[in-house]
Amino acid sequence: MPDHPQDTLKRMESMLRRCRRRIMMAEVSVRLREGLDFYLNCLLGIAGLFLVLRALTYAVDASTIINWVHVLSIAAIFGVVVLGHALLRGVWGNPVHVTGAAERLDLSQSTHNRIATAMALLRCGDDSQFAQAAICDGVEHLETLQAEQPHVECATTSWRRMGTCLVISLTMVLAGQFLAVEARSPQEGSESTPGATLLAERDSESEPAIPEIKVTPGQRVTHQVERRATGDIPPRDDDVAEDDTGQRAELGKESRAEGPAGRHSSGKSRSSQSSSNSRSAASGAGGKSEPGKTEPGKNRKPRHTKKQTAAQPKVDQENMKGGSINARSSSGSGSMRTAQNEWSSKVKAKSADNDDFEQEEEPDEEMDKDKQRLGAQPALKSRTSRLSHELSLSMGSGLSNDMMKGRGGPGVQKKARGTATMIMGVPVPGFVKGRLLPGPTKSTQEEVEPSPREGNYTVASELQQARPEEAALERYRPSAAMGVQARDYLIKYHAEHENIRNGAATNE
Amino acid sequence: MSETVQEAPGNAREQSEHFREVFNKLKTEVHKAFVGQDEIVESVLSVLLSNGHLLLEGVPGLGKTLLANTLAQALHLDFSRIQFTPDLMPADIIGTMVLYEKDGGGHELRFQEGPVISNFILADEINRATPKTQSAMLEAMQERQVSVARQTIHLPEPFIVIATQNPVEQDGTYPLPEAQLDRFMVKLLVDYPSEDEYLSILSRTTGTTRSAIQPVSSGPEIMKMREIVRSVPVSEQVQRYAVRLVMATQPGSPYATDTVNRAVALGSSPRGVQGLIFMGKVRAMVGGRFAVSCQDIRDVAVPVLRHRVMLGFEGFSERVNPDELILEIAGSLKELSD
Repeated sequence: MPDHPQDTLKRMESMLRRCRRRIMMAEVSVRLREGLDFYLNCLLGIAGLFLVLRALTYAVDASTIINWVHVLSIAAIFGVVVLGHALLRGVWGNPVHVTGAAERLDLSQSTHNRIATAMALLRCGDDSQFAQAAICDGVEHLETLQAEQPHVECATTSWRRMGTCLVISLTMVLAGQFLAVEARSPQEGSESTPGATLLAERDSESEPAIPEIKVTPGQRVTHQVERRATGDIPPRDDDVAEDDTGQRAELGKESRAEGPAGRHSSGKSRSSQSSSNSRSAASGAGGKSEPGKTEPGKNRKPRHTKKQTAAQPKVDQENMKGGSINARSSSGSGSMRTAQNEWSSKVKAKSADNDDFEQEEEPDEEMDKDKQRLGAQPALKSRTSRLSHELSLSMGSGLSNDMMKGRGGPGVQKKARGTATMIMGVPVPGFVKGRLLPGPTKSTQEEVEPSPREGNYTVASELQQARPEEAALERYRPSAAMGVQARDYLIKYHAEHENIRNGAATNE
Repeated sequence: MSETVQEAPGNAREQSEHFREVFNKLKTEVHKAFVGQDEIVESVLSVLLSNGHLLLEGVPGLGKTLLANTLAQALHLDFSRIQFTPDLMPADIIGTMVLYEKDGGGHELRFQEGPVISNFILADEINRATPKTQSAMLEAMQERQVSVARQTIHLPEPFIVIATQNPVEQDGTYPLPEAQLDRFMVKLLVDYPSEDEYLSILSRTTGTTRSAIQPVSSGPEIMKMREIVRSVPVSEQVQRYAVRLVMATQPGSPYATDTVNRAVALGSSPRGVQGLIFMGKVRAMVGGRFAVSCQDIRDVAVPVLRHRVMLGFEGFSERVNPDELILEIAGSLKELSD
């Protein structure tokens, strides 16, 4: 009974369908492996992002609500989504057809595409001798594989890589969390410093009713904005700066004396901040806030009650009477010239230095500082930019490349000179292969009528006898002593060279 | 298995067996004179059976000329050796019209055949001739004919050109133009022999005995084998793989890698795909298979494509190796058609 090619094809397809389950499992494992790889990379990214965020908040003394619980939750949800998607993609996304199964079986069993070729030849109906032989070969191989139940290689998971990624991610999350703890602890410790205690005592003398509230750095900035808006902190305009010239001069001195160490993270600076901010926070909270019940979210909202507005002049009056103690009262009104004590100046200087936010908001801060300095100061606004060390063609001058050409380096526009380009370290081949630029080549030819032109002819003349004064050249004649000296020198010179040459020849 | 399916391959199997037998005989005969370099010898025979031409590159003294000479002797074909020099003219290769004196009086112009009209051409140091002379080979290699003074002369079959060139001593040479390079199906790099091969070379060449090369095949048999090679089927999957491989060498194509886009100025032409399939067919037959596989294409990719990939300035400056580039491309391409 002859076996028709269509029957052979059906038989091959039925055999391949039996192999398809194993092939599909291999396909799913490949997809899962891809998904896992993607997920591990994302996990590292999430952990790294958390660490960077924490480090940034630590650096700028801000706070963030994201902690390790959030990170783990995000990672878990993301993992479920990614791996689920990979699984679905493996099972339903890319169904393995019979042809695909044949190709994958060939690939996994290294059968030199025999099965897929046999199927393709059966489908196209090629009846040549070699095609029939190839079909037979393919069917034989498929039957052998069917009998052997071959193991289709699945994608293997690298447990080592997975473990490494998990450990690194966990380490980054823990490091981020540690940074958060570190960022919180110095503030708590600064409240017990002597300066803070003293300020707190003085605050309690002046305003005993205001409770002390812990304020986070983020809240502090917000409150300063609020206070400026409500008039607690005077706007930094020129008038105020001029009024406070004397006062600021002192501040400038102190801040210069402290140097860079006194700028940010000293204990005194923090304590003075916390003392002044405690009051601002209290005033910001108004009468509603109770000791120990203040919530960060509430502190951020600007609340200006009538009671607070009415209490303001009273506080100012007290400051006028007893001298300003806290920073707010010392800078409260621009027109006041109160007697400055050491504490008030320090508080103000440090609070002004610590507020980077203020520096960013007010561009004329630099000018104010200049005015605080004593003596004749250069006009800092008109300073030219410092010399750039940029290694570019323009040498940091900002000029365009057209002005860099030619001699003399950067300068005004000058005539370009054609110079050969040499790239150091790059071997230039003797010939550069390539195509000519596309497009037609245009050549123009101008027809010029030849016309006679007068030339400058030199009239030939007879060679004449040179005159005696032209012919006789006066020759320099050295003295006898000089001649001897020159001779000795030349003999010595040649002898030395001869020795050197002989020595080199001997060495060789 | 059916009768139609099982009976028919009997002839194909016999042909395949005969093919392998002749192939192995030729290989053994060539190895009598040419020691080692088994892959080179197989590739040379594959080119011969694929109806292509061959470019051999190697430093002097590696036996390039000996290989071509031995093969010609083993095939019992007309053999011409042309030593290319800068003063060689096209007429020296193709032939020219010569004025003859007739027997009965008078004169006539007759065509005096050049050395190119032969079965087996050894173009020694082809890059020493001027481009004008090199171009004289173009028509012969592609069209298998030469045109002289209104005459077109068909070249005898089988016709194969084995050209050699020297990678060093580039002074005074003329690099082959792309058009001519493309006409060589394969470019093979002849390397130094191994230690054992050196000993074998010494024992064969410095003693009193000399190995005589016997003709083991003939022109008609080679032509028959070429027909067998042509009848080897190639599935669409394998054809597609070969096409993608060639397209991947062309910068800007969807299969080109970043390295290709950056370093390659000119990729392979369609002649490259033809070469891949022909060489793959011979490889399948020698391997005892009746159809070409993707692995066959991968195996012949480097010799077939290495001279068709023209590097750009960036490729030269980065010292990109075309062989490594082709292997990288072949490894990155997927066999699966979906």
